[in-house]
Amino acid sequence: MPTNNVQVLLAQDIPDPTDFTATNLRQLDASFQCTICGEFFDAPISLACGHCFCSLCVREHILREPECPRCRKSTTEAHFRVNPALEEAVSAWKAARYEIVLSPSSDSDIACVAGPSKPNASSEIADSSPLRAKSARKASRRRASIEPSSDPREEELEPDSLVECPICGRSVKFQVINAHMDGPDCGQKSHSKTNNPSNPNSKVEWSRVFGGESSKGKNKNNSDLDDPMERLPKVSYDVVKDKTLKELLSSQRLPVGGDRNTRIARHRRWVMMYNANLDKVTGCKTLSGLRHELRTWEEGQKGSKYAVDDPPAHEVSLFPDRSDSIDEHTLKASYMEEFSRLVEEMRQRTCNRPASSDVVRRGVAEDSP
Amino acid sequence: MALPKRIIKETERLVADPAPGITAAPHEDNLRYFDVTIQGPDGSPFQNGVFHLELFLPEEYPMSPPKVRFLTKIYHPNIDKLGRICLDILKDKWSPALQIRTVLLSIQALLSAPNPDDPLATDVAKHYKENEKDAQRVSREWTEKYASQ
Repeated sequence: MPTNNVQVLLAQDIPDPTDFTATNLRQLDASFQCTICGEFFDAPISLACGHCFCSLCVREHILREPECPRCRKSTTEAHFRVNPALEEAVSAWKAARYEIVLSPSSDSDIACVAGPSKPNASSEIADSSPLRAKSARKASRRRASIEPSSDPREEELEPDSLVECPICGRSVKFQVINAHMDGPDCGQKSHSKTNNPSNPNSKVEWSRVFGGESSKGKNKNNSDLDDPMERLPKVSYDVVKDKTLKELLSSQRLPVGGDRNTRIARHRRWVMMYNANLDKVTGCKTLSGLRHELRTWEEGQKGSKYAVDDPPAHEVSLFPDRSDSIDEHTLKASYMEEFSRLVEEMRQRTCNRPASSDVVRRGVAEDSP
Repeated sequence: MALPKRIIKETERLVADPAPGITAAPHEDNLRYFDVTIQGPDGSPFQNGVFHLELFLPEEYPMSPPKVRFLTKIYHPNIDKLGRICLDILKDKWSPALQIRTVLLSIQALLSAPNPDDPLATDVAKHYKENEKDAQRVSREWTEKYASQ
């Protein structure tokens, strides 16, 4: 284990009120952050009590406890109100804060855009968070407009020469760049990087989802790709049969693999993400973008106790048993050291314990009436 | 699973700007596991004691509460022999708007204000209810015996 793990993590460039020295700026910065996830509000929602949270955060919370996390006033989804004014303020502040943080004096604009540390750092972590991805994208867009090399107006470009899309970073032919930026393919760069090879079977399934999408996208399914307007209804999973659940998933063009719990978790998360996305006033994500996020989320769940070891879907997996046993072996190998250390610790503890608990017992006996 | 940014931020602040009488340091090899010390509040029978605790942030944190346990022996009606703590915000009254810092401050406050009406260690609570003076004397003794530096 690296000994400076903590330092490395803490040295990460994460926007935080402590970036500012002035208390009033700290307070301002903190007031734009969701108290659940600790990041800037993403699709902020106001509850009946007036407290605001990211839509996705509070949706996940009320699954467990239907009350405001701040004041405990009871709340339901019916109380949710979108908050476009706050959303605008947050996005304006996110742009402004970099300039304030980075400029000790007044030459703020250049310092922000050309400064080496901040924009790079934010694009490094862009993969993990939609919020971050957004600001990184913004930064790169601004950089693009300043650096002469990537500005099409300053260079004579052949219609066929490749230029980098300022939004998603993909190379696109110059003559179709505008159509590309308006189209559904754009804005997926950060997701395409997240191809985690964690579970080959689910990967196959997911890639089928995405593969199908790109081929169909050109034909007729445009309505599906953009502008989702209708909210998805919640489902009482206790009364839904497996078959219906699969239908629900496939109607949303989601994979149907995994066991029942996985499918329920997947669908529940999808409904939350889908509806939370509609709470954004500007910058709604495309459905394919959301599906990528869902996959990233599901892969993140593996290893936590909810990740009920995805028994691979039968149509995909050929050797379910073998893959299980491989898993067990690798797990054993990787945890052997930890395990023996724990055993050793327990032995030492049990050696020490009898003496001390004797003292305690005597102490209680003497003092109790 | 990657560490949520919220945990990194909280850790940063706990290390850089600790609450008075409280320290919390993450383990090098597991950033969800913290070594905590809490100083006994002045004016309580736990005064001058330094209590060691362990704190663990489960996978679902902040949607579910951190798990906290006393490692140092303590004679307190709401803390049992195993160090488990009876505190509502660690159970059903948890809210994701709470933080590690607020949890530890609440535990410190619990040391100042034992609540024998909602006991975890029934014998200690009985002692506190029947003869508070004497119970506090035992608390002081234990503090001296187990929690002095």
